[in-house]
Amino acid sequence: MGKKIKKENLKKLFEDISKEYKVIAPVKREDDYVLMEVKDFSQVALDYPTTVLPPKKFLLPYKDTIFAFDGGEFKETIPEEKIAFFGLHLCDVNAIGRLDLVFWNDPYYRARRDKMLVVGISCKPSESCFCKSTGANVLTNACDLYLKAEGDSYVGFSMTEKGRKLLSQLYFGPETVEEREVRVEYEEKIPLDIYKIGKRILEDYNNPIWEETAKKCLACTNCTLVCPLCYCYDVIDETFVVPNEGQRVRCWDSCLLLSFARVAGGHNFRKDLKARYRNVYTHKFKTFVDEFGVPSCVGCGRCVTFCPADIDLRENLSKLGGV
Amino acid sequence: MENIYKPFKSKILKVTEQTYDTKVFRLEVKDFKYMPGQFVELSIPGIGEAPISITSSPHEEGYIDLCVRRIGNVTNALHRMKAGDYVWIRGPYGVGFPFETIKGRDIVYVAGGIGMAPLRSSLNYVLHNRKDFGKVTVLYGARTPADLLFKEEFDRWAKECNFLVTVDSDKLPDGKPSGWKGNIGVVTTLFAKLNYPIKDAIGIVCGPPVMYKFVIQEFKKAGMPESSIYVSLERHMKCGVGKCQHCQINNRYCCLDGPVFNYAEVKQLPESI
Repeated sequence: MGKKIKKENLKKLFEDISKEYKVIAPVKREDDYVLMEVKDFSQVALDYPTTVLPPKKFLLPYKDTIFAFDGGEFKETIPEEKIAFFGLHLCDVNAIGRLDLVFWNDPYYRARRDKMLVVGISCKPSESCFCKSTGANVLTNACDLYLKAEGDSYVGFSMTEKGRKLLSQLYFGPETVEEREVRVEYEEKIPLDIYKIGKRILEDYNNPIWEETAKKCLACTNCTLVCPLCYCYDVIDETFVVPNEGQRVRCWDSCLLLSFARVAGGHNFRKDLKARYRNVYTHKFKTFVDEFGVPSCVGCGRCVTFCPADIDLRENLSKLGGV
Repeated sequence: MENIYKPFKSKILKVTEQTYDTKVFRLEVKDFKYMPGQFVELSIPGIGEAPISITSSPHEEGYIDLCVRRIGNVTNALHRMKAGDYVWIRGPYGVGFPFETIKGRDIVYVAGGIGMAPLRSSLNYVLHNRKDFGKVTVLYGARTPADLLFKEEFDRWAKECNFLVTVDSDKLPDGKPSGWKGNIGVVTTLFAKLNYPIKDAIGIVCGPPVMYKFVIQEFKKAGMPESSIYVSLERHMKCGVGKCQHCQINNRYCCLDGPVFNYAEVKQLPESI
């Protein structure tokens, strides 16, 4: 059941949330949209394609201190910040839901997540979108409050207690809207049978697409950086003047990098780019599905948009599926 | 909430020089339960963290031994440390050798180089519980006589099991003669010296990546089914808890599902061996 809110009242909702949270929202920056801290509602882009970086930027920051050491002792550095996302598309909301599956017992992720508010908003799917194929086009309880555009107003749907509290505020109208399931519907450019294709990856391990794509791929890692569900990381100790004073940080890594599967002594289990490129797919559509029942892909299309070599993940997947 | 990444402080009780590049570090631990084949994450603040297999046997209490070759940042820093210094560890992690399956069976261990470290844990555990197991053979190969680890235990092992050693070359790493009188050749040449059938035994392999397929060929030639072969695999397990993805082998994690794998299962996995 939803409740209507007029577009001009979104400012009140935003300001209400701002009182309690540091608000992260999509903002126009030159030709792109980015997720960043917003203090004034007028900066928020309500109608936007996709942000360059996904919400993982705030949940698993690029460089995240996990321990400080001072004379040797390891001291936890648990984040205290209360973050609210204002205006995430369903793909990004569901990416958070899927990150929850991996990082629920991670104290740093969990501290941020427990204190977090997620407000989702309607989107207009673009050519590169394929959230339907990945099952990420449906509203789930990873979202506290979802704002569905309807004419020049919105309908708010609450999925959690935090969302219900906001929905009970006066800037939401009294009239209710019945809707059993909220989902994004559209025609996908390349519809995919993701689960079937995922199974094919190990069965058809030497499919020529890996060799072909490796010839085009620059191993620049753009696709894994912008992916809302590429979460692999490296851990580095940073020191100041004396070696045992400093911090342990984890930072984004990429399985496309040559050093990723290298072991002590120099042997590299994925020396060829072909093997590394295939690994992105294996993890997303086979390993993660085996582990958690869903792919670690929400079809946001960022990897398609930001590939400098014009590689389209969907085309590769559809070739793998024999479609 | 429990911090799964937080290491605890552990005192270095003893450092034993094994070879020119390998030392054994004895670390103090309390109530630390583990099985042979498992590993720990070892931290030196400011240097980093590295996965290291445990080389002592669970029947030894109050400490664990780590056999460490000087090869990266953490291991080089560790080699500069001495008894009385402190390191930080967390673990144990991973799945070790399946003793519920191995119990009562003959065992053939094949170790190459530093691969002896995790196998020694299993071997000493088996020899400590000798009556629970059948015939035990160890085939151990190293590059040169100067690379052989745990030489002080050779006599005991030779008494308690069928222990065979070989070196790839009898010259020392600097090219000088060593006076070695034993076997020369890669570890697989030792299979010819086995004077009893091993087809019903459990085969256990750990060594450099190149070694596995040749050893497995020998096991299969001897009639051993693939499901009787266990391999301890090497990967860089950075987090130890199935998150960082560095040790992923297709849809398995070396840190959670391994490092000890059954060969019949792992051979389906490309890139595993």
